[in-house]
Amino acid sequence: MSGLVAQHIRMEFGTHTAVSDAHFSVAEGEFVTLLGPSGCGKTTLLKIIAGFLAPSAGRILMGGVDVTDVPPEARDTAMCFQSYALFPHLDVRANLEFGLRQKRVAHAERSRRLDSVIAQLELGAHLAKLRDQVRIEIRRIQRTHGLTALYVTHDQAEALSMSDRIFVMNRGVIEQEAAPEVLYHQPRTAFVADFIGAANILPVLDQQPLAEGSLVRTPMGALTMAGTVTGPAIAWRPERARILPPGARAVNAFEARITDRAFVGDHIDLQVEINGLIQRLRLPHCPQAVGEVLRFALDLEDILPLEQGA
Amino acid sequence: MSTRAHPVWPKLRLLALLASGLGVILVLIGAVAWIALAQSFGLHNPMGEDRLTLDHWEKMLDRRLYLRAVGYSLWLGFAAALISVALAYPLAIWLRRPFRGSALVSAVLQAPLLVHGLVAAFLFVNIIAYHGLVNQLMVALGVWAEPRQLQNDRNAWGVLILQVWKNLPFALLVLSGSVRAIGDDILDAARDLGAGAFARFRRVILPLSLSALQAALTIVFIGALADYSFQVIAGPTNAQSLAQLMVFSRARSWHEAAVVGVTLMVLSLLGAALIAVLSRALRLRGVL
Repeated sequence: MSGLVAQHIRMEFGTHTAVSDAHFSVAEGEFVTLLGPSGCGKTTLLKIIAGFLAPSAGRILMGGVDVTDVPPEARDTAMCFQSYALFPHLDVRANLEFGLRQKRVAHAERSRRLDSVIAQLELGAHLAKLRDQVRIEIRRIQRTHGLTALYVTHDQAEALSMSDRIFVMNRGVIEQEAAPEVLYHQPRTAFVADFIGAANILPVLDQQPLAEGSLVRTPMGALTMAGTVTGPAIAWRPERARILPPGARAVNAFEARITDRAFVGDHIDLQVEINGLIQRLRLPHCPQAVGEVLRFALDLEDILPLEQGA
Repeated sequence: MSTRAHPVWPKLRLLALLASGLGVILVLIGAVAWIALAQSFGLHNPMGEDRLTLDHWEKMLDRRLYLRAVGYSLWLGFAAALISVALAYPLAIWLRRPFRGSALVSAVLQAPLLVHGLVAAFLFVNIIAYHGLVNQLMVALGVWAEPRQLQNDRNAWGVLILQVWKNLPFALLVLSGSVRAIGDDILDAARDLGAGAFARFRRVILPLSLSALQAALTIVFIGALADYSFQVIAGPTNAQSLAQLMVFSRARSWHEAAVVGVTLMVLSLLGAALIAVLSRALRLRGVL
């Protein structure tokens, strides 16, 4: 599949809108992931692109050619199904050969390609046991052959580790499209902030401009941030909390009483109460026990402004 | 000392378990098959002395009526089976996934299962009679100048239509289960790999429903091969089916009727075996 353009795609099933105005492009050789919870419309969008569903509105272009009305068997796409969709009546070789036969690849060429693939499969059989390794293998093949790939998942770790760009979908709308790191550090909406990693999301009660940045009042308390908020909320990541030594002073310093503590290997997950509000902290070390109080601070840049979502 | 059971016991236990089901079938069918076979060779004579002989077989095999009945019944059996399955397959694929009105379509298609064959045959004869609906319609439309003789037609089209009408729901029922079991992903994957509608049918649907196809063909073939009721009401007057010949022969000789009965059983078995062999060959040779 060469470069892909989706123009204002809309998909309705009766009164339900599964995809609402999806408008994006994927460059040739790019790996893009559609990420979102079950029912967000990501599979519907993938099926529209592969040709299994005709959109209610909008066009699909591949390599600059409008393929909206081209049936899937005539589109130059290869879909890998979640269920693998292997033909149960065919052996491994015949399964691999299916598409080549349909494309009328000559017998000698078919045999050559199949022998090469089966040799690789036999070589890697002992390795490809874990999902992680399959993931790495998919990415390697995609890069080696410069394929344009669209991957659908609800697993954020999978999306973050594999993609050049991620499209986060919610209720049929692409809420944000960005590179994984941008998505993590600059989530646009509360949904994205919560879906990608963990986030403490706070409604903004009001804000005052400062010489540099602004002061926002939230149920947790007042927070000084680098920019301004145009939307209804702000967020901060639990792992961005910086523990303060006794007596130390800092901007955005809070006292928090630990209400729950869970050791999860490489870090400790804490539920803490701050001004009567339960928030989440993620710390590499924490000598305090449940019921004890700790002090932490947040940098100005760690307060993330959020816009109104879908 | 070993406490292990004697090796014969598990086998006996298995036979005892099978006896209740398989035993009854074997005894009932076996008894009928044996009596028919014995009578065809002059034994179990209900009218007189038993005498082991090949005379009845020789007489029947020499008779043109018998050979014509064999040919006619075989033709009817295979034609009904092939046409019923050929019509049921696209319907089963069409009804694979529910859609608005599909339940009604299924119910209408399966309605013939609720109508007895004899009733259907009489209704059909009324429709195609000299003054029946079809003739009246064709004359009214000006297609035919005068009514035509459609009932008991020489080519047995009437019987064939009735056979297909009656057996299509059976074939549909058998094929539907198998076709519905094929996952959407499998068919989508085939499509994605470039397979058009016919290629999907030939390379995915047909091989995955081959067992159901074999079952449908066999059931319809045996039913149509042994047809009596459709044949006597709507069948051609110049040809007899084997079942019709059997009843006809009984008036003269039980033994000759038994020869026809055994012929029916043997042809049923051979037909089913032929269908099984062809299915197996298709599967093994990877033709599909």
